[in-house]
Amino acid sequence: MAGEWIIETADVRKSYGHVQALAGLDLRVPRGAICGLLGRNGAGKTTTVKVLLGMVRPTSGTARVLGLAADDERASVEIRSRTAFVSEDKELYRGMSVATLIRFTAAFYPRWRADLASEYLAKLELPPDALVKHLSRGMRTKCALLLALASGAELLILDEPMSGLDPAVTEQILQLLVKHAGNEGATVLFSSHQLADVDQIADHVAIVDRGRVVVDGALDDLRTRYSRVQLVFDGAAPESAPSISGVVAVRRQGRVLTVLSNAGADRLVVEARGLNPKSVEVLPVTLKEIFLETVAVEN
Amino acid sequence: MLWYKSWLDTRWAFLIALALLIVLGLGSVFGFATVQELVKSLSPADLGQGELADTLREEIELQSTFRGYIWSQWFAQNNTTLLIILAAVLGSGSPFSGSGRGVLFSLALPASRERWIATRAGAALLELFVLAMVPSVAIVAVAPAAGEQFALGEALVYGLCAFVGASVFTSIATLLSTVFDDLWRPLLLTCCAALAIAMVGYALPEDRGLFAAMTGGNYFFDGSVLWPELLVAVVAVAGFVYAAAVSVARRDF
Repeated sequence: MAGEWIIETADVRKSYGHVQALAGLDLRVPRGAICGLLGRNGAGKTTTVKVLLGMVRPTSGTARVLGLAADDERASVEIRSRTAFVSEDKELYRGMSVATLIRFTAAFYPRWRADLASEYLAKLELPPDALVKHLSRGMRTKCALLLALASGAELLILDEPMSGLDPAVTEQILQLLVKHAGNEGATVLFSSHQLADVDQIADHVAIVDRGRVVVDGALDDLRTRYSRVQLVFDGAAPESAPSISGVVAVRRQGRVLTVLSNAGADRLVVEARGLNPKSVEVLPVTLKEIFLETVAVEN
Repeated sequence: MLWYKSWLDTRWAFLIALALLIVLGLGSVFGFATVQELVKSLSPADLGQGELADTLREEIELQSTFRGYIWSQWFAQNNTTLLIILAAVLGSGSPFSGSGRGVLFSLALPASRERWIATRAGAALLELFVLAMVPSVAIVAVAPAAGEQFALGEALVYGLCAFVGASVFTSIATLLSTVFDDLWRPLLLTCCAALAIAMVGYALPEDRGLFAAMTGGNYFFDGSVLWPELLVAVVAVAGFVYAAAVSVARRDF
């Protein structure tokens, strides 16, 4: 369906000298989603975000945002007029006051929402006359977020928005994001290595490792697809790897064999019974487990 | 709004430079009386013979009139030197954020990189123009207070020549600022480029070259302007700014 994906990359590669930051990234984010881009430090999350915003030119591959080519300068300006960004460093213009920065930013966005700017200014308790250089990191993050949310953008790209923030501010920002996305119909792509934040608000997830997307999809689908089955045997668990399809990880501990699969619980249970265990138990899988097992397997 | 941002990034350097040039320019005006006393106390005949003595005699003759003194002391020396350094200062610093902070914020705004670099270079050149012209006009305006006169047209010619020449260094600094993220390397390398151009100038006849064009020496002595040098300077400025646009368009951030 045309326009289904607001972000779509195909085999995007980016090298800095001998270092390969992106190694064939295939990422698709559906319109209207809140998508968490997960990955360890150095996995390629920030480079991905920069490619989407035209800050970094890919070595090869294609990246399309809002249906436009991200590596074309003219199209990139159009993308950025409909996309708002909060960078990981949260650096804004230090010599401007909050109010001046709001006026400055408003001039660039044709769909700027002055009503939202006023609303969030009050809600986030930002002092309009304070210079940005006098704001704490938390306040700077709030200010950057206000500018992004009031821009009227269809797509919000947030790079580690919650890094370095205390739990109270993190919670406030997460709630604000969910509410804004719901009210305004905006798509949110936010990179993070804070699994709890992603688990709390995301409905889609893409796990990036070594410059590639290793897992992606709707979070509910992932939870259905990924299942952990614990098999208990009368004697020692079998040494040879079980021939069960979709196995992501296997752990043996005495008489217990634990299998993580991405082929669904029903199929896993049926196939596991073929190993003649004493008991079979399906355990819930958390996003953290999916992340850790996937990245561990990839490595 | 990009103009406003460029102004914010450069305003202190510009305002301090403007104040400095005006104070020093006006200081030259009021220093004429002291120099006159010194010149009168010197007898050209006592200087003896030789190349050095001839140079000193020429200098004394030059300093004996207000027109010669102002051109020699201000336009040919202090103004030219200071303007080159200040041109480098105005051109240095990231085109996306003078302080180097907030570069990603700038890049995420819906404005092309070419627009950023054009605005930054344009603002720096505009400020340089003011730095070149305002002290020149101030000298003309204040000269009567020291009991002297200086022709406005002549001051404007010197100011324009100095501006065109110095703008080469602004554009070099602008280009270097697209390569280096800090303020200091573009500034220092531009000053090195100025020294290199000065060295090349020593190999040329005394009345040729970029610095000769900047001082307006030919205009002072015979009313002519070094158009070829100024034309080359304008082409060089356009070339360096274009190169800066190409450089910044290719760069990853």
